[in-house]
Amino acid sequence: MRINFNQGYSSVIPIVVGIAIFSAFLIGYFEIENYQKQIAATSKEQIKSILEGMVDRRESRIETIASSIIGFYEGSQQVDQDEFKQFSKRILKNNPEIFNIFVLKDKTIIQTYPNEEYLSQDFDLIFPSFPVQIDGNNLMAGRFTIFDDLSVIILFPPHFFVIEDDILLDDYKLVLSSDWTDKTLYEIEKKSGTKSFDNVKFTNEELGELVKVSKKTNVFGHKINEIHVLDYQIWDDSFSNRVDINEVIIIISGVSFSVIIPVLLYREMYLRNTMRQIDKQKSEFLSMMSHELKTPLTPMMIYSDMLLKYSKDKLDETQRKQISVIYEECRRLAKLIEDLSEVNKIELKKLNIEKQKIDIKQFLENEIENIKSLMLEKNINFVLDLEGTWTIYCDPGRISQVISNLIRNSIDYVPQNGRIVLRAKKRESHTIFTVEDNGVGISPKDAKKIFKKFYQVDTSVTRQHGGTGLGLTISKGIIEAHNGRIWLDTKYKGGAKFEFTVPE
Amino acid sequence: MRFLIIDDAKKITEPLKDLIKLEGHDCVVTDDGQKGLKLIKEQKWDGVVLDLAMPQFSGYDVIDNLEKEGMMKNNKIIVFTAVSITDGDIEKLRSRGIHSCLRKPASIEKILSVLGIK
Repeated sequence: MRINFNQGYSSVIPIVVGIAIFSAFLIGYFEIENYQKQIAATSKEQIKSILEGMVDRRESRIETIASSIIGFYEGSQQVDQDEFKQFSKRILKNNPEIFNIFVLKDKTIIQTYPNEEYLSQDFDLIFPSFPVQIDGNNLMAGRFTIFDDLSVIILFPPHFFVIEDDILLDDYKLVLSSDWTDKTLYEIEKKSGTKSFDNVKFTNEELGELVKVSKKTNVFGHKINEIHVLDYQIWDDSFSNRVDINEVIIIISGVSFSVIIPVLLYREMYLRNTMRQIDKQKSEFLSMMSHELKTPLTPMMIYSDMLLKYSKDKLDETQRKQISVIYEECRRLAKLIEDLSEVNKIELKKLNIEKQKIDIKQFLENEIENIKSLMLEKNINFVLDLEGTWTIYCDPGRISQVISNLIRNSIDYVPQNGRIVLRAKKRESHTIFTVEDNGVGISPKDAKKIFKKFYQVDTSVTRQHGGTGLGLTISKGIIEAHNGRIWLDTKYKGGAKFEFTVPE
Repeated sequence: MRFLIIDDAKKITEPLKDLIKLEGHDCVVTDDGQKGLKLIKEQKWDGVVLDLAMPQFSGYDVIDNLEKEGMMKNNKIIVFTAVSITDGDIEKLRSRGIHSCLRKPASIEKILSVLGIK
């Protein structure tokens, strides 16, 4: 048996499916990449406006503080040490980041709080350059005119311009610098909840993804209205376009599925095609065999029958018996070939059922007519149990075959003067037929196997009557082709009881 | 009565011929479909036994031809075949004008009954 590999299906379909799956994943990948880019862009936009807002807020804060000090001085004739101290305390209470407030007359410090040791000193001498340093702290200074030769200088740390609470990022690096000094004004790195404030370095990758915000401000400087630029550099991992786990999963899944699924599809198609071919070849083989077997049987049957009928007087008892056996065996063989053919059709699900509307009374009475002669030998008491009549929808030839088969089986197994009942009852969605007898019955052990091919409960009995062991198998196939059910009633004692249903 | 048997297998035609002769009737045998068709058209027969599966010119070809020429009604064609035909197929053939169908192998009784001898 040869199987043709390139018949009945095309390998194009699995390939197309594979390409389609891969494309879908590819699109998914690009979508995710795109989405991530958008998220990064949005994140960057957000942080940019936050930083710009931060500078504005801090600028106005310093200006407000300065204004209040200027106002204080403008409103009083003389401001003594204590008054200044009280006023400054209040300012510092509301703005704890402020490091020191100086009031200068020309270059001399006339008021200072809270670091009072600087009183009466020359500001430029103590703090010659920026950043101003007090106790190792780098400080920015904002200078404002009160009037004439009076000015106020407010010292605050650079981190005044970094409101950490406003930066809603989890892991980020921020560096604040200015055109005013080479030294970094402030740096902060937040990672997994911990913060570090020195040696914050950006990797080359991060440098490419940074957000930079530069803002001019005149709020600080050694001189009044000096303008400087604050440069923020910030990096957060939400800015990065690194390939993350989602994308890796998609790539791996995409490649896997676009290979696995077409392979499975191809295999399925191949198997189905092979199955189809096997079925077809099996069917053709059996048809051919059946034909080849029936042909020689024809002359065998005719000649043996002819000898018995036309040469009776030329034969003695023994010869007649022998030829009779030949004839009977030919008949058996013919039936077996026919039955095998039927079983083959059933297995290939090629049994042709041609349904018609049948009047059940007429149908069953006809059946009985055909089968009456077989019951004479054993003088069987046959009962037809049918109340009224109705139409059933089925293939009459086939159902007749089933009834005939069941009755023939019963005939084989009932005793002399035995009883066989054929019953039909109408149910809602089907008709139920029963053939019961008072014969030897069937043991539960056999009950499971009786519908199987070639199974015979008692071969000596059935062989006598030309049984092939395929009758019930074929009956089952016929009933199932009608979407009905056939079974042995195992609860019935006193014989065998077969039932089958024929749905509407 | 005169009968025509068209079948390519000698093992089929011989027994049939013998049987018909034993019953005291005449019988002509041919193994070729076309020759058989010619004989059907040229002579009168009380029955024609036709095999279906024949090489070159099959029983179906004979039937198609007779149908086309409207000769089915004047002839009693009996299909005698080893091919598995269903009752439905038999009905279809009957509706085309075939008298009856015999499945191989068939008993003498059946054959004689269908031929109209017994």
